[in-house]
Amino acid sequence: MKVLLNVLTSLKLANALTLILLACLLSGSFVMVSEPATGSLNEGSLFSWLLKNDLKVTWWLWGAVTSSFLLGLNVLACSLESLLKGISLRRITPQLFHLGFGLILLAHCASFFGFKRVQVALAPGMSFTLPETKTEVKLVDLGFETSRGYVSNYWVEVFYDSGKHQGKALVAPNRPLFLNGYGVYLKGFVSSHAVVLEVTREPGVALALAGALVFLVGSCLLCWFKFFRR
Amino acid sequence: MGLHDTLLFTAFSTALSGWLVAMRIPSQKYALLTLTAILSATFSAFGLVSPKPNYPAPPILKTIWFELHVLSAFVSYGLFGVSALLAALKLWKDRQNQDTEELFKFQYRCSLLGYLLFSFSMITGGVWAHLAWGTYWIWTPKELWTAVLWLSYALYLHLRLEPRPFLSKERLKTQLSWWNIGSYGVVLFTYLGVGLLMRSSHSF
Repeated sequence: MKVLLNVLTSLKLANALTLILLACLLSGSFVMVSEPATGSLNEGSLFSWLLKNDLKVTWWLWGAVTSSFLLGLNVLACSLESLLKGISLRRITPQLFHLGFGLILLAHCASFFGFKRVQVALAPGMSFTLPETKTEVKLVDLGFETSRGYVSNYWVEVFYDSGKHQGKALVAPNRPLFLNGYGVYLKGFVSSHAVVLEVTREPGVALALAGALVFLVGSCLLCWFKFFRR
Repeated sequence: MGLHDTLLFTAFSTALSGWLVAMRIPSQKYALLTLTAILSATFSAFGLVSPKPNYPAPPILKTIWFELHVLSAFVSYGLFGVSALLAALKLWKDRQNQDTEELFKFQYRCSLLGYLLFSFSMITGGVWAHLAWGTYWIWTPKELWTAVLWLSYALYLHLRLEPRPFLSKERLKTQLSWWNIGSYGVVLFTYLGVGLLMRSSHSF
């Protein structure tokens, strides 16, 4: 048991797993270029993509998932061991990085199983229902501006009705509409009278943001210790 | 925004980082400034011959998150470049049996600061991606190489902490310096190679 614990908390294991993860992702970039099946990676959950495709296309992602999982366990074990030795601001700082990293890994885990993406083409007056809900979104109006012959801005006005809440909203690039766990994004124009809206469900986003914030706090503390405090 | 703008900004951030570090190491000031000038001039030369985009930025790029993402990424590239130059200088000076402790110390600090800034770039990129595309991470060659870059420097920072009873401190520093230079190769491929050779969300 003690041997297992020593292995689980070892920095050597962390570095080895990081190297394996790095190699899997690097290989994956070349697989993505050569295998057309990887084109559908971002269309739904990773889990369903992994099950649908051959091992010759998915091996690198299986490797990355496995090494990430083991690295997550290693990071958790290392952090607990360090904190059990004593708590001070200096000791906590690297653990904030580990916590941030762990939260982001959990975010990816949530997205791995639960990510959903659907596209709908709409003209004004048409509507659609958010998946697995009764929330209706109706396209009311659309518009765009041009500058020097290029589209400089574009937007749509929608009306939504979830039964409990109704309202109007403007959806534009970088201004999605968030409703009942889904995001409604303006993907682009099909013609001057019709648009493509993209509806996504990203279950890991809150965990990813929490992990990012914790990581940033750790970064600020580390900068303080390494560059300013003597 | 294309190669023209980003190469010139990388040249600037490399030059600025190199100058700031050179002022902190008086004994290596001229050597480091020379190497920084060569690297910076190389980026500038390629930047000046690259075509300048002659169209306005698309609406998806008009957000503070994009600006923070790009700014922090290219400042970190400058720091990684200077760190690699310090590593190369250290390896060269080692052959002449000169004291390279300061070179290694600043090599580590540049890499650390570059890593923290690059992490910030990934975070702001994730926020922007969520607002623009509905997910904080997409699987394309560019994002994969971004992760490879991040892991490469994370490994560099952790390798120096790994207990190695059979390796002398000097030998470890030499190995880390080579890893640092290799990681800068990853930076260059992530920035230029992926954009030019692979189709992704960040293609030039």
